Amino acid sequence: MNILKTYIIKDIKLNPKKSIFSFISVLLFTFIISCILIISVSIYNTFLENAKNTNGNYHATFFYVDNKYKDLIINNENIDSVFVTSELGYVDLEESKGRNFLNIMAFDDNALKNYGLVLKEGRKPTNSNEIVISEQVYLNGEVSFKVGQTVTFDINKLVSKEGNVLNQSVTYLKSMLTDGKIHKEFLCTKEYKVVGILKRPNEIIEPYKAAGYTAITCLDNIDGVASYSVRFKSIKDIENICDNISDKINCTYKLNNEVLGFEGATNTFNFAIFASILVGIVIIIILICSIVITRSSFSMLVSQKIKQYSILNCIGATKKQIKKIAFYENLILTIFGILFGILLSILISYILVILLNNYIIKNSIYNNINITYKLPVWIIFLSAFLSYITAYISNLNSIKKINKVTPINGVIQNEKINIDTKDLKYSKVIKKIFGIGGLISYKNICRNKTKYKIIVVNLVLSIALFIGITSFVKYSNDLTSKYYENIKFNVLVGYKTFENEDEKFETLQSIADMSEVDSYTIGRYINGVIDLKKYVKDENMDIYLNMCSYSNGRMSEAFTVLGEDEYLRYINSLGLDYDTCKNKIILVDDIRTYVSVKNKKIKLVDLNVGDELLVTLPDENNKTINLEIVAKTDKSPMGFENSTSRIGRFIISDELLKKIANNYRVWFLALKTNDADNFCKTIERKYDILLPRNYEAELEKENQTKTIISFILYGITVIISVIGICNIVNILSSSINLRKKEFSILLSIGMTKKQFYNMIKLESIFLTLKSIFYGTIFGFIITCIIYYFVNFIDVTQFMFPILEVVIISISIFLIIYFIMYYNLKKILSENIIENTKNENI
Amino acid sequence: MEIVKVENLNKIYGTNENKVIALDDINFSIDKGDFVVILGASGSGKSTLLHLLGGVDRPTKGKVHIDGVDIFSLNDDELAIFRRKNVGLIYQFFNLIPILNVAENISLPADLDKRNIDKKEMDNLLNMVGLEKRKDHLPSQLSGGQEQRVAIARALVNKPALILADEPTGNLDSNTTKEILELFKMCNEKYNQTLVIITHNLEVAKIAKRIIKLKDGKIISDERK
Repeated sequence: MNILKTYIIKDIKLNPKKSIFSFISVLLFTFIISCILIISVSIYNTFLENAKNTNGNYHATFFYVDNKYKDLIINNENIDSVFVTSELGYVDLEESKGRNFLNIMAFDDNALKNYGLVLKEGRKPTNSNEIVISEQVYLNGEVSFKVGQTVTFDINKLVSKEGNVLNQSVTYLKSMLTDGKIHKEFLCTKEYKVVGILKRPNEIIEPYKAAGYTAITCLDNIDGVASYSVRFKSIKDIENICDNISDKINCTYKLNNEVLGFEGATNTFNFAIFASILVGIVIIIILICSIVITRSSFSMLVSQKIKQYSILNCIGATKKQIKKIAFYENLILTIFGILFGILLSILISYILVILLNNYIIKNSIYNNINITYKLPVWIIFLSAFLSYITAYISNLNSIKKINKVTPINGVIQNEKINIDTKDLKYSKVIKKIFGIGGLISYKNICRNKTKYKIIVVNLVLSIALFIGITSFVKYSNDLTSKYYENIKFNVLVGYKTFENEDEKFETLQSIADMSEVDSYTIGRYINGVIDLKKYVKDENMDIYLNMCSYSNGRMSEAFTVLGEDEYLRYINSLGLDYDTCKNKIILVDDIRTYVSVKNKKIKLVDLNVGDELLVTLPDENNKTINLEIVAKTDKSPMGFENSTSRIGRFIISDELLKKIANNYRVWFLALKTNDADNFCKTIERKYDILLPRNYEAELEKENQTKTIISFILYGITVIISVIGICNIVNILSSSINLRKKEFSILLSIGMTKKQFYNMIKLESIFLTLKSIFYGTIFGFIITCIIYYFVNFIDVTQFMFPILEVVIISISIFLIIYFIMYYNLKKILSENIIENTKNENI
Repeated sequence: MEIVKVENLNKIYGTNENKVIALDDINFSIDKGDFVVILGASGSGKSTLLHLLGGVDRPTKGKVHIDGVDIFSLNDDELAIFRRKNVGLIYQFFNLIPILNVAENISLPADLDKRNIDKKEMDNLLNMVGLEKRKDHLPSQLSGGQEQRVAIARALVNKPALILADEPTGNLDSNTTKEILELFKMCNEKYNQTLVIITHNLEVAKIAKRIIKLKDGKIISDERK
């Protein structure tokens, strides 16, 4: 086989133009697969490390475990590592404007390293005489501690009337102390040196509802109860293992779901599996597209060499030997393509990570994350393997071509020209409209159906992908903009615990009264029980009755008040006057008023203006009242935009609420302010008990996330299109070269250059139209599928990116035309007679 | 001794109204060492006959025996192997492998047969065709006559039972034609090579020992000098 090896190597070296497109195809798809894997792994690892640094590097915490059971955890065969924390007691913070206490905790070395503690200033403690304190003590409680300061603390335990010792897991209300439900018991006095200030610890260490802010010292020994945070050897079936342990030692536990989700545990949000599936789907799509595209590339390579292979066959090479030549030739191209593809991906992905960190992430809402470049060796082997399989499958069909040609027909290139007369049914029309050039173009396309089918398939793939991704981006933008443009507020204030509804309302009102607030609504409601059977259609009665929480077809609904100012603003916007509305109901019934039954959205109840409802108020000793619907609208008041409801929302005035009810519940505070970011930070610092949500920041985050995702999706489409275009260049170039003799004959007969260029223009038009037609159909199908799923998130109108289809049609026509024009120009400049004799070796 | 036997050979192209009978029930045989020229006008079926004799095409009907072997009872691979050992093919347009040099083109059939050609054998072949100084040249660096000489050397490398040449001088000038014909004559006389040449050139026909004339796919005359 030496001469054949010589033949293979020489052929690649001396005919690089023929092989380059196949090499580029392999290089590109290897590059893209490898790049996706490297960046995915880097991002995944970054998120995992981030979760561990923020939430702690553990899987579960067993709380307040009695000392006698510690060995059951420490020596458990399923547990890999343990760290221990213990609550020593509470210290009074008399001057505190927030929480009453400082909770002194002791952490062992592992806990100090692995519990997600972030220092704002100073260092962590190294012994039990040193302490670090949470910044919330100052930010919220306005009690100041300095690094280097020596403090003396009287440490107490808080004990309930029943004799239970209070810890940070218990919801603490200030009234518990004042009402005598709990009392302090002195434990000891201890002196500490403050060595550091911590950024606010996570929810596990410093729960929002707990009695004290956090201070942490080193754990000397474990007395009494302690909490154990563990990492398991295997996270499979983790809940059962934890249940077993907690049953044995009679304690509660909590899973660290953020970290477990990234590590791939089941029964928690499984980010690892979700991300793997997503990346897997993307890679499979790329592999399929690459096989489709590269198949034709290898096939073209073999076609161009049929004559050579036929000469070898005539001389006496068997088909097996010829197939080996073709196979090894493609193998060499594949190996080099894979090698260079992987090297290129390592370089480009490294650059991409730097660019992502410095230009996109740094300026985004994710600016606390820095992606760490990671290149595990398995990625190189996996990419090489996947690329090899892709190239192998792409190559299979091309080799079979060799069987189909008899040796002499391959040598004299006497390919039987098979045109079915059915395919030429338009030839008369085409000749009339486009002339002889058009007829030749049309017949050429009919004659070379396979070749042109490949071009069309390549183009259809790119067009359909492009349309699909554009639709996806448009729908995402539509969902986001609809959601956010509807709302009239930019901050929503939630809360943790209040003593009672009045205190809650007063606190929220005091925030609403701040000068930074332009407009607001404090949503309050009372529960009312109503019988709506007469407004329900017969076919929906069963669904209605199933939903009723009261007997005899009565359901509980909220009757909402907005605050006087917002109520007035609202009814004015509806064109109503106060006196008409004040003792009646305004019904909000819009596109989001429906009940979901088996993925269908059903309008359950048909209420109208003038309908009277007999309302029973269970919180007011079942008092009843008749309330008429004075108006029906699809406009939501501030705070209720984008919210769904079962049968509509009932809005009443504050005046009516005061008249009919003493008891109410507070829902939320929705407000509009100029500087949402600073406002939320102020609220968080000042009110330990409130949870402000910055909608402006959320919108910004969504937009940036969408931008990144769009960038990635379009990037993948561009690369797949580049592979396709390489292939199309290959096919069209070699096709034109193979027709050199034909073109020269036409020239020698008298066809002008202008007529020639018109001929290829027509071929380009025929190809473009066919590709656009099928590409648009497939793109339309993809758009419909996206539309179907989008409607599960929110109701939206069907959109199709028509402008983008027009742009891509023009682009495709230009690409095809210029490829053909460039190749034809070369031929037209050559000698006609030489080309008529040319055997295209 | 009979080296080629053709029995009831038919080749039809196309179907129905497009049917073309290229060969119509051809029967003849060729003895070893014979120098046969097949003459005929364009479309007489001579090239088709040659291709069938070489096993590079298959007939519609009929048999061809070469050295006692019914070549069309062999499958494609067996036929290819038979061809490289027993038949040397020479074409009007040379059909050399453009990326292999002269020596590599010549040794190709032997290499396919996994037979090494030693230097002495290669030198003999090169000397015989007068290309000893062009051993490392590529086909694109040779004249038409030189290319045809390479094709002849390639056809001879495995010392085949039969050499078939399809218009071997059709693409050459008169001087070169004479040189090539001399070469053929030498192969036939010195090495007792059986030669079958297709041509419409009467000058070529003059050097042959036997002339078979074809017309419309049939043998119209078969004369021995």
